[in-house]
Amino acid sequence: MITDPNLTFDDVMTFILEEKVTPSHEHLLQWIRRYPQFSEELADYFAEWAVQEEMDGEVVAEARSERFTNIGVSHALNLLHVRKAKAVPAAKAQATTIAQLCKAAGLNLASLAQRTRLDEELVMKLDLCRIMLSGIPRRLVEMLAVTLGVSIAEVWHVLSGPPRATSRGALQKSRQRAQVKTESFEEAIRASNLPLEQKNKWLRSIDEGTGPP
Amino acid sequence: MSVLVTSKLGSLKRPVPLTQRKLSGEPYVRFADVETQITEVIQSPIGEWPRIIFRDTRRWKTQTLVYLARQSIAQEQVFGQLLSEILRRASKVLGHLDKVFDPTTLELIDAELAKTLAALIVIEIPTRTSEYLEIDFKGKVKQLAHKVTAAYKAHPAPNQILISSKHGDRPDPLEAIPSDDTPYSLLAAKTDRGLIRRLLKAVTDDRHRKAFILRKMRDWPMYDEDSTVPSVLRHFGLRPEQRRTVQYWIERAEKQMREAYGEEQ
Repeated sequence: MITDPNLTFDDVMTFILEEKVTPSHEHLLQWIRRYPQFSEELADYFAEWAVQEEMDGEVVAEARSERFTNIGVSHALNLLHVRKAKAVPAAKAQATTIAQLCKAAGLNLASLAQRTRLDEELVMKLDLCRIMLSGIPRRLVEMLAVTLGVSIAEVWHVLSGPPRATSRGALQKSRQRAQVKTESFEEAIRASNLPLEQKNKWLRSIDEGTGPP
Repeated sequence: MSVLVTSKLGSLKRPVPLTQRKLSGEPYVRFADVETQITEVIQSPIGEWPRIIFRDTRRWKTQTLVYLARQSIAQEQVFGQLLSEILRRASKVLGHLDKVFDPTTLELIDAELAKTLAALIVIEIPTRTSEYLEIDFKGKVKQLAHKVTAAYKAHPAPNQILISSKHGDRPDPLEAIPSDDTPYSLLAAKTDRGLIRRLLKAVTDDRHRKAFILRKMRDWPMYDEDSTVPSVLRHFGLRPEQRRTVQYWIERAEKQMREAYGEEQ
């Protein structure tokens, strides 16, 4: 009999459930004829089935049931945590904006602003790539990389994207090609609502070096 | 596992259909009562599900709980509660293994089964096996048990069971029971399944019990020259000249069952 080469023994077991099969030797031979590639597994399976069919109906001790449940729940949660951990780097790998990197790191723009001692408006401008790359202090990019858990190169990469409008709607309002305003980091700092002392710190950081290496 | 929580039909949310197909090509379909139960629950937000379910837990089919657990994976607390109930129910199907395996082997089997089942419930890409849990949960769990225990057919070591005989300080049943024709036809004719089960539980060595069941109740040949035909000897990894060993096992099982039968009269 020609069968799907991708068929697994689990599939065959499920087919057995779909039909009225008993663990008799006669049925075992029929299934071996259908799936000779699983003859050994089928023989072992039918033998266990035959025994357990006759031993059914026993009450399970509460302690055994509890242990079984705990092992299963713990295993499922472990699998889900591993899956989640794998999904985060994948999200980071696909990220093309600061906002997406934030999300992958479990942050939002406000919390990123707080951690990097910027204000939210400035972080939003960075996210929209409205700050000219050449004037962005390297110290800021280092802070962003550490906070977002990505490499410095990845931060430069997302900051170097084309400047974007605040929303798609804003682009559609004008019949002319949309002009998205950009500014230097220095201009953005001076226009920000940061305390004077913090503004001065950032302005001094410009002297330490700006732009991608 | 279905990817989306619901697909809408009018304003009523409906369960996502299963994706697999039977051997005949027909698509997998949940039973109507399961679909109705799922539909009832998913009209409420996921956070409400435990309150709905655990108000009267016994009312809900396990297949319903499997669907709901899969849809609540993102909400760990809800998922954990539903999964606990599912696994607790699964464990209740496995009581018979107590009589077949020694405690150490049983712990290994339980752990493997619990992990297998948990993995099937949180599986990312659905398979026939994973989706069948939403059609016939109990049947599938039993199947998984047969599959897992088949790998332990060599357990326990022969002397373990004999040492752990449940006869305590009573005389050896083989000494006590004459080997005459105690009514064995009851077994062969399978007229009283409850009686057969009780008698089989009196057999203290699981290999003796298995040899008896395969040979006497399921008509497995003792040996067949054709290597593609499963036989009792091959199942136990024995050679044709070791036929006498299995015959002894079967005789011993019969004697213990006769003793148990005598005690019931």
